[in-house]
Amino acid sequence: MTDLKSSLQVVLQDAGYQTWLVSLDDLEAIGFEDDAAMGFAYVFEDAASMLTRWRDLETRLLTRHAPSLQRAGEKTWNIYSVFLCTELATTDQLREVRWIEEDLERTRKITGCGLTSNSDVVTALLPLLPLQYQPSLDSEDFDLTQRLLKRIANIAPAATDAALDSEILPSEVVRLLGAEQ
Amino acid sequence: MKLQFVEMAGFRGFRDKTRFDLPGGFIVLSGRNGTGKSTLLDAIDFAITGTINKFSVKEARGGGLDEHIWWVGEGKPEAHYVSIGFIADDGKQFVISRSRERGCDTQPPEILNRLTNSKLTSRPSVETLMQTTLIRDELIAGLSLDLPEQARFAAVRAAIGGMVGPDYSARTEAILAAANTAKTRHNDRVKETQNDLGRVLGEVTEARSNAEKSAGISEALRLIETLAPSLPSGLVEKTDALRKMIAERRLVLRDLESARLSVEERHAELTFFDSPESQQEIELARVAQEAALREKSQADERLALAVRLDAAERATDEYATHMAAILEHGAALGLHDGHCPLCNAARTDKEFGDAIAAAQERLADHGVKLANAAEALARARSAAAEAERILTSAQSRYAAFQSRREAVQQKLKEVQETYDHHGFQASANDAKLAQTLLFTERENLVRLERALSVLEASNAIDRVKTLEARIITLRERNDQEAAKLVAAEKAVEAARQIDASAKTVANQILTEQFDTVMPLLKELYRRLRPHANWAEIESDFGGKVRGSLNFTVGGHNPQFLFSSGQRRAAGLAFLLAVHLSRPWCSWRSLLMDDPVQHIDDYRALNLVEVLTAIRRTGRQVIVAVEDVALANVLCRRLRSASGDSGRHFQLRTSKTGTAEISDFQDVYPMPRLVLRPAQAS
Repeated sequence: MTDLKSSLQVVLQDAGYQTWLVSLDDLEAIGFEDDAAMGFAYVFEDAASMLTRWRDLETRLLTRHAPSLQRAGEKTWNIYSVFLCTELATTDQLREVRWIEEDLERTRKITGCGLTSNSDVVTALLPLLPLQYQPSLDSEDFDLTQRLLKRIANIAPAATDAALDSEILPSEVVRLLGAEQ
Repeated sequence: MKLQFVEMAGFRGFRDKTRFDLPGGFIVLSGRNGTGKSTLLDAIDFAITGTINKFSVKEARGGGLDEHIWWVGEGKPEAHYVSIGFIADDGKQFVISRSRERGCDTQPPEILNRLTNSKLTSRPSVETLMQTTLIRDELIAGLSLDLPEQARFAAVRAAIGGMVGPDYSARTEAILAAANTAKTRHNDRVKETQNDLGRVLGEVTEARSNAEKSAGISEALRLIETLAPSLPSGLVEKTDALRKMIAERRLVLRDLESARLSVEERHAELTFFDSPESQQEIELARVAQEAALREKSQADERLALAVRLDAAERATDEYATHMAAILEHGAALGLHDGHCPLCNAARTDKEFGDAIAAAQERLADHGVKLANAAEALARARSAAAEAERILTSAQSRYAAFQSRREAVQQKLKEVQETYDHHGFQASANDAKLAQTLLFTERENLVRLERALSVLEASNAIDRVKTLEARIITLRERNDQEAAKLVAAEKAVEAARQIDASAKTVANQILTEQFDTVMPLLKELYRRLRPHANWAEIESDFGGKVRGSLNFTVGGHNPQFLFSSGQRRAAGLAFLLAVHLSRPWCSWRSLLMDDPVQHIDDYRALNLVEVLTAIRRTGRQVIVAVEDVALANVLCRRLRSASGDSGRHFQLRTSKTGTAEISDFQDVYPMPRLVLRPAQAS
């Protein structure tokens, strides 16, 4: 089983965030911040616990950091509350969990249930992360000419060199394909 | 390469010269409807492509797009132009200007040269460049999820196909066309040789039928040698000469037969002149002619005598008449002094009277003699005339005999000449012999004609041989042409495979490229979360050449499963993935025109976060939104940084009706480490 807290910090740090642990009475959250966003992440045992406690936790964390947030100016608008759990949620619970995200009051909420791997964590934290995939299409494997020449070599070896050479008349290629003029 | 400024005057809703200086980070445009937010993006589109790609209808009553590119409101603009500036990472600038009067100062190839990767073997069009750079409200749904599968594929190909390489489809299509032309040509040749072969096969059947009549050729040759020994020795020549000779001999035969018939027709006449009776009859005519001649001579002599007697009587009659007149006159005078008034002799009255009476009596006797002489003359003339008629008749009859005989002899002479001319060994007056000889000639001619038929049959054998040789040649040629046709068909098949390969390989590469891009699309889809239940999107390529792109969520087609807003969100994921996957594009600006219509606040926030992630790739993001609150969210989230700051333009309509910048604020970087110090404290 993945240590979700550790994974959280690794993913966030990889994304350029500073992370630190935040103790809140008997709870332990993870604080994170970069140039434009900041927030807290908390790992619940299960969805039921999340649904019960998320609002209280959000309030307590904001209250706790109120002095700093008051100095943050516009950045205060970019506070995230991340609520995750490793246990799978029921369908009904998932619907309620989504409602947490769609609650746009105070902080931007990110939720995730049934997270068991780093990639699950990445998926859950996508709103906070830079783009994960940057397609590279520069590979030589995508060279159509070479690919097509290989294909033509299998179809008509004699015409391989001439088929794609625009200097050679199509009728000459046809001759190379075996047809007499 | 990023946008550095946009300046315009007299363009769309901007009457007065307006300049937007654009920082490298992000630009948020806000304002009510019609204040010019979209116009800034239209200006960029127009400068690069020469049109505005958001109107499905370009022509309409009241004026089309072209009539509404430039300011049409109140007041006269100072100028009509659009100018956009770019700046590269190395600080080099590039400006495109397009004015109403002068058009564009930079041609599309140069624009593409500046804004795309020059290493690529092929480049997209300026239209594709703009279509994948500027994501418009009008196009979000229309160009993404709601597209037909093939059109969606084409959109992807246009966006990420730049790396694929040259489009060989025209080349391979030309090869296929040439192969088909060659095939058609060979096909025509095969048909031609087959037609030739069929025709010759028909001819050989006919020739064989004729050749079956060729038995007895030796006998025919012997016969020809006997009857026509002078003919040439070669079979073909002999046949030709024989055919000609038979034709000539037919004419001769007809000539001889005609001559013989003319003798035959005169058979009675010939017989007559050859008979003793005819000799006797002719002799009698001759004798009668001579007798008539003599009789005629005698009659003429008698007539001459009668004429003389009559003349003498007539001369005497004249004297007597004078005398009678004198007597009558003397009688009338009577004696004159006893003297006769006629002779003055002294006469008595009696003597005088007696003398007058005696003289008148003598004169009366002379008249009888004159009448007798005239009657004799008339009889002599009649006899002479009768002798003349008899003589003429006799002469005519004899001459007729002579004429008939000469005519018969003349005909015989002519016939003989005809016989002699044709070498016909017969006497003209021997019609029977001539007929016998002609019968023989006719029979010989028939035999020669039959011999000719045999010889011609022999020629048919030669013709059969010739035709059979030709059939062999034609079959060989047909086989060769068929082989060429097979080769041409194989060439067509190979050309078809090459043509299909040109298309499928391109599409396969595109598929692979899209598979490479797909994780990004999936990520963007997850980020935008269009639908609560369907968190993942899948894609596959279909069609014969894999020319269509299908999307599915949980095995369903999102096109029909999602709401309007959800489709737009999913469409945004697609369009953004396309935008981010352009290997050929060196212009690193994302332009979005009102991307949040129909999207709820939650999904709008998701979009903002996606744009934030895109900003983190170093791209310039330009977004136009109507909602000021959303504009503020964007300004807070899009990450202003030193060197890549943000700016918020607020637009409005002035009192004079032109769009204008009412205000703008630079968005500065946010304070760092806000929470961490709190932890430390």
